[in-house]
Amino acid sequence: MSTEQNMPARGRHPDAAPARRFRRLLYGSTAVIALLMVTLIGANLAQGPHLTSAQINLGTSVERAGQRLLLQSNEPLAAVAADQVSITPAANATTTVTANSLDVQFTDVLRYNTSYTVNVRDVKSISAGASSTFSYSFTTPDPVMYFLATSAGEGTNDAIKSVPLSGGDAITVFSAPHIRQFVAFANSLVVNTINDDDTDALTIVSLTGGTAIPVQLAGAGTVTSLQASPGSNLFGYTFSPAPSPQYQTPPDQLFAYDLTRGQDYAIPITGADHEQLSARDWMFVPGTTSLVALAAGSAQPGSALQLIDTLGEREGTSGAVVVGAAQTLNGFVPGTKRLVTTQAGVSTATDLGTTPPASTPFALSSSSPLAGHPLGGMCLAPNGRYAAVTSAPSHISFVDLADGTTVSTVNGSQPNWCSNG
Amino acid sequence: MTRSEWRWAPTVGIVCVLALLGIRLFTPASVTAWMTDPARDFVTLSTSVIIESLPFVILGILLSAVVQIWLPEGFLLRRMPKNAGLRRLTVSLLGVLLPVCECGNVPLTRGLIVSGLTVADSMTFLFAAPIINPITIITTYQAFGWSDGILITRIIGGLVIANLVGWIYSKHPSPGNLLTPTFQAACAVDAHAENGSKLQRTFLSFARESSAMMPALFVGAGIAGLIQVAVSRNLLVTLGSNPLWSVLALMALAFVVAICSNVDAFFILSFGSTFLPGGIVAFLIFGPMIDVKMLALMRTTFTSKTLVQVSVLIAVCAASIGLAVNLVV
Repeated sequence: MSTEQNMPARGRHPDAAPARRFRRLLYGSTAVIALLMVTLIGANLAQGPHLTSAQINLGTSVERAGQRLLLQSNEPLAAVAADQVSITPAANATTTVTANSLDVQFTDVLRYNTSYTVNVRDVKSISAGASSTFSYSFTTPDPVMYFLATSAGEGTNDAIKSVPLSGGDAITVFSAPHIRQFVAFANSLVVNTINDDDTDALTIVSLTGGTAIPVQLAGAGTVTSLQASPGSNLFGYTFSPAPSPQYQTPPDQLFAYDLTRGQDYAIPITGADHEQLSARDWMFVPGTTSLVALAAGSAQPGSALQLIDTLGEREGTSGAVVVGAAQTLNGFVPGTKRLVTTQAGVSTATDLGTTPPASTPFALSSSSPLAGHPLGGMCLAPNGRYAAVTSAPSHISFVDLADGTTVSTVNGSQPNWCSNG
Repeated sequence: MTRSEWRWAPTVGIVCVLALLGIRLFTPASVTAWMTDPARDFVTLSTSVIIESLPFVILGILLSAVVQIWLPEGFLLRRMPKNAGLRRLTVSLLGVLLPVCECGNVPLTRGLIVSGLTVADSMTFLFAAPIINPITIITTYQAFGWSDGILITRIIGGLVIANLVGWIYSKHPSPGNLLTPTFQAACAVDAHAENGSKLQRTFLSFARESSAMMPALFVGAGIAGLIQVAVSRNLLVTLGSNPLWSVLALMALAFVVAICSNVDAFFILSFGSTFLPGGIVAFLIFGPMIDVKMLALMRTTFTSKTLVQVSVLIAVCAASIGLAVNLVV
């Protein structure tokens, strides 16, 4: 057996000194490591829980109320009271604790381009011990604004320019001899240009270097309104065919287009009567693929307010639903799906987020601006906290509604907030 | 074994298998239906440890036989570095080539000792191999990825502790005294010097190692099942949120559940949201080295005194690493 050299016969007494040295090494090593362990225990107990990670969707934090900052701790946490949380600059929030997560939910939409710091003091683990302070800072996005700069004179083009909300040099992202209107998405523009023969063209222009996609219109004619639902990657337009001596076609025919499908056909929107809808007024329901429309020629009191899911129209799985009656569409209460309409001088808010939509009286005034429709040259930001005010001649001011201060100004018209659903 | 015993051995084996199949065939689908809940839990938990460990124990016994009988004498030893520290480091990485979990490593370690590896170096292998093997590393990565340094700390911690134990015990003046008298006697039988063909000697080695390992495995599994029934798992989970108790509680859990190192990462993943990372690291380092089943298996080879010393040393090391992780992460 080859281990013999390691194993002296039992009963033979090894030298006392090596045995003592071994015991000293074994017990000494164990003691030293045990001492290290005790030191580490002390250090652990003296240290409160610490922040291991934080998550927040900065994009949605400036678009919708109720967004969350999730602070992740290394230990399960004890409950946190409201007075332990401070946010600079001030923002209303509620906090809940679930196991290792401290959830700070902002009850307001956050401001654009603002550095927020959230401090939570006296944070303790459920096993008590020492406390610590969680601190996390983040900066909300500075959105890019698009606007139309019309040509300065003969030989120059109209241009769509971009500029950060906070200000700076405007950059031309698209130009053409005659631009009637446009809508903006995160990675593309949809531009309504005027051809030399005075008919309209609609083109999807990539902002990332992709190929432009022409939208096939229903013949020669004019695009009479163009609106976007950026969150749903949808845009819609009304189209009035050029007058024909042979036959009469209704004006303002409503179409929708799904950008996620790439080069596709426009979806003809049909009304509750199953005919192509001629829309007197229409707008996207914010954050959805649906739109609301008033049929042309129904200005008299009691005309139908129709709710239509554009994707359902495309698939043929759903049709228009009459959700009320209205003379005019005033817009949506910012951050909600509450549509304000007027009929016979009475304003009503219809919540399109409920089934069936619930209507309540609404006091419409200049101090309660609505999203989706320009009001006196003013268009609200999607979060309702800023406004783009267009004043003649071709001058846009971006205003912080909290204190009325002007954030920045540009020379142009049609800020993209005016065409967003 | 005599010639007639060899002749009868297959017949006896087949009869035993048929008898077991017959028992299974004529017993009701559930033999625990009449038991109380704790008794049923005990049977289930103990059986699960046996079922989980048995393939690895058998694989370990087979590898042990290969090392002892099929490899040329001194094959491994000749390829080891002469420097003691480097040799132990090499031995501690052998698990990469012999991916057996801890219960299978005991018979393999016995085979290595019989083949001539020193007791201290064999201990290094025994404690490192369950962690430093590809299956364990892959399952730990699958469970935790790179989060909180759990995988890296497990690998480095396992290597350091195994090499520390090996280094300390390499200074023992009489390494043979670390082994049980029974195993010393077994070591005295040179496998290469036994009579019979290599295949016959493999069977003999398999029978000898199985006789030593199986009772220990069953006793260890029984103790593991018993403790799990007796100790409230809720209590362990409650302790998991404290930086200190999370480490101690998960080491206690590792000791009790005696789960195989190849799958322990997935087991403890379910506690991941409750326990601190340091506790999980301590669980993943301590469990493969010391648990009730391992102690029962190791008791076939090492003296009780040695096992107590090693257990305490490994426990303070694993706890220190776990606490350090809790402090830093």
